[in-house]
This record gives sequence, C-alpha cells and structure tokens, in this order.
Amino acid sequence: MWGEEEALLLRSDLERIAQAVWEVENFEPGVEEEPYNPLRRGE
Amino acid sequence: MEDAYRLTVAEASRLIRDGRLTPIRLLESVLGRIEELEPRVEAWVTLDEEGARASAEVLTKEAEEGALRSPVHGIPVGVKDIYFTGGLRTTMGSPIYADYVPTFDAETVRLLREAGAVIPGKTETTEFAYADPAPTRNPWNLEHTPGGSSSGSAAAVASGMCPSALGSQTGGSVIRPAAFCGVVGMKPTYDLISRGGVYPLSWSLDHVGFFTRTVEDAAIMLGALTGRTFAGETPSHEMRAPRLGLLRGFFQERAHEAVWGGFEEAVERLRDAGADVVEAALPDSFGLVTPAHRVIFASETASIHQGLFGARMEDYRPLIRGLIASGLLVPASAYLKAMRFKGRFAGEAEALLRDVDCLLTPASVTPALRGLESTGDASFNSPWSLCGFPSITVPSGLTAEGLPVGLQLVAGPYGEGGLLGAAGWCEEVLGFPKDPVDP
Repeated sequence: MWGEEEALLLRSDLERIAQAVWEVENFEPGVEEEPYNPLRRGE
Repeated sequence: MEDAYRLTVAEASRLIRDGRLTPIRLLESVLGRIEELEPRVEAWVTLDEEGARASAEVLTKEAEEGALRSPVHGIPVGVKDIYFTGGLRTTMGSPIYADYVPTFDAETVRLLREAGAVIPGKTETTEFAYADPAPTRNPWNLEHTPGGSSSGSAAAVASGMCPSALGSQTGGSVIRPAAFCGVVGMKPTYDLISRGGVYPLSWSLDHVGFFTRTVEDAAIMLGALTGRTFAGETPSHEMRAPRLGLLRGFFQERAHEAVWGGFEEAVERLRDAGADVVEAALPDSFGLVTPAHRVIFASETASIHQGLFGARMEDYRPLIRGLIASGLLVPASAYLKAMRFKGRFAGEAEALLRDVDCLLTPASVTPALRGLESTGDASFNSPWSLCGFPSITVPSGLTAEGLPVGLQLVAGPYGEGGLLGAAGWCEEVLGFPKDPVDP
C-alpha cells in the first residue's frame, strides 16, 4: 500500500518529471543538424 | 604477510610476480580484514570464502610454476551485486532477487576471472543501483553515507577489504562514492567495456566502472577489462604537466562551500606544480543536461521494470518506485528529444575538449552526507554519464570534518590513456595517502 509519505515522494517525482519533460519538449534540434554520436567514431 | 590487505593492486602484483607473496596469502589477509571490519562497515552482501580460496589455491600453484595470467593474477576484486556471478547469489539489492543465483558470469566478471582475479564476494548496492540506500557506512566516519549506488565497493576498497572492486554508474554511482570514500573511481567510455550480465538501470546511460586506491591500479584494472595495456601510460613523473579546462558556472554555484574551497586549493597546487589550468565555458545548452538525463533515465528504468513492477510493486522501495512510476508517464516525443539532445551535448562537450587534455570539476556536490538516508547528489557526474565520456576521480584532500573530497577529470571518448596520465600526474602532486583507512 502507498502511505502518505510515499504519496508525497511520488508527487515530488511526478512534478520533477513533468518539469523535465516540459523543458526537453522545448528543445528543437535543427533539421540541418546531423544526429551526432562521437562515440561511434572511436570504434 | 599478515597486513597484505594494505597493498595496492600494483604492489601485490609485483610481489606475486617476484614470488614474495602468494594469491592465497593475499586472500587470507583480505578475508581477515573483512572479518574485522564488516560488522561496522557492512560492505558485503554475500561472501564466497570457499570459492575464493579454491581460485586462490589454483592461482598460487600457477604462480609457483611461473604461469602468471596478467597483472591481476591473484588480486582480490569485489563485485557489485548487480553483476551476475554464476553459482553465486546476486540480489540487485532487492528482496525480489534475495535468493537469485545466476547461471553465468557477467562478461566483465568472466574477463577478470580469466585474467586471474579472485572474487571474495558481492558488494552492497542500493536497490537496483538507484537511490534507496544500502546499509553500508563510510569507513572515514561511520555516521556518514559512503555514497551510492556502488556503496559497498567504494567502502570496501577504502578500508582495505579488497584492493579493487567493480561498480557501475548511470548518474554518479562510481565517481561520487569514490570521492566520498577517498579512493580512485573510474568510469570509462560508455561502450568500451561490456555491460553484458549486468542488471540494467538505464540502457543508454549505464556504465561499467571500478574502484582502486591509486591511478596506477585503475590502469591495471582497465587493462584487465579491455585486454589492452594502460599501466605504462601513467608514469606520472615522466608525463608533461596536463592542460586542464576548469569548469565553473553550474559547478561553482552548486558546490558545497567545503567542496569548492578544497577544489580551489587543489587547483592552486596543480598550477604551482606546472599544470596549465584554463577556464572552459559551459555551453548554453548545459541547462538541459539534468532534465534530459532525468527523462532518459526514468523512461528506460520504467521500461526495464514495467512487468516486474506491475507484479511486485510492494517489494520496491520508495525512491525507485517513484522513478518507475514517473518514467511510465514520459511521452515518446520527450524521450526522443532527450536522446537527440544527448547527441548534441556530446558534440558540445567534445568541442570543449579540443584545446585541453581534460575537463576539471569537483567530483561531488557535497562531502559525504551525515546519515545513511541519502547517498548524495549526482549532478556533477551525470553530464558525463549522459554524453558517455570517460571520467575519473582522484582524492584531493580532507574537509575540516575529516571527510575526503576529490577532483573529477573528464576526457573525450576513448581518451582513457590520456585521462589516466593526467589523473596520475594530479595524484602525485596532491599526494593523498593511498593506505586503507581504519574505521
């Protein structure tokens, strides 16, 4: 069962993820931008 | 040699090579140290004295015949309890897996055994390597956390219960506990070392890593895990002073006073010894690092645990419950944008490294926190878990309270050789004691 303390923790997690999603959704990678993965170049 | 537990990997390796120490005597010394300290430090979930003794006997015989397998021949290596070990219980720090015994070794464990390492047992981890704490205490002060998630590995190496141990990092789970416990922690490039047989937390962010008490030992461990030679790349007295890119901004604003004060003192010492320390400017996009890391982390953890979480929710502790529950709500569009940002940030971080050997920051936001409830803040480490670049921490000194703090050095992808060289140089200048701490 979820107690009050756990419900508060969950609420804080949900608020944090909502904020993170909002910030990330505002990121606009340009169409001209090459998807970049320098790690592959080292292989 | 009763106090062989005090030896570093390199010291023990040389003595074994010269026939002045045997793997079984080294193991017995380490097991004695564990017996003495474990009731107070609680670094181990499962000990395998019988299996370790059997391995050490075989390796002793091989050493007597001059058949040394590698520099880790006969070296005890603790293994974080999310690495599968065939025939040896692997709990993931969760009651769900309390009796789980894998049938195979993680690829890293297989490589270490093949190279001659001895596995004394499994070290404590936070639940599923997230944030619900393990019972482990910091050997520098038992009232403080050792950090996490690789809590047992860091504490065991710091206190001489083994000279090296495996850990893993998704946010800051190697670098932070290493800094809190005053040891060297290394997280190589994202895909340099296999994650096969390591219970995942976040596929795109998980890194294999390890703890030692010296940079030379880190090079030896990296060699054992990759089949390459790194040990020769750290003769720090022969290396030119490195050019280091000092990051302020976010790091200076967020760092605890004792951490930033100690960091600035350490930087001055590096400068005085000849390091070329230049200011490096964080890219404007750096503000998105934390949200992008969180979105990827929560989504992937939720995906990994979805089935098990649905069936056994009551057996999950609160912090990982919250991560999974929140990750289940992330829209695919946000996850994909976070992954695109991950690529953008990797490019920008690589550009930052164009004119310097390494980037330089404090290794942790705070020193080890009092109490065991929180394992600390990973935000100085998670940027490098997001972009996958190799990082290492070197202990730089003690706070007024007597708790260790460390430097974090970051190099470009596959730049482990240069990173170890620079870290070895800094280690020599800073001169932090390499002896195990007595709790």
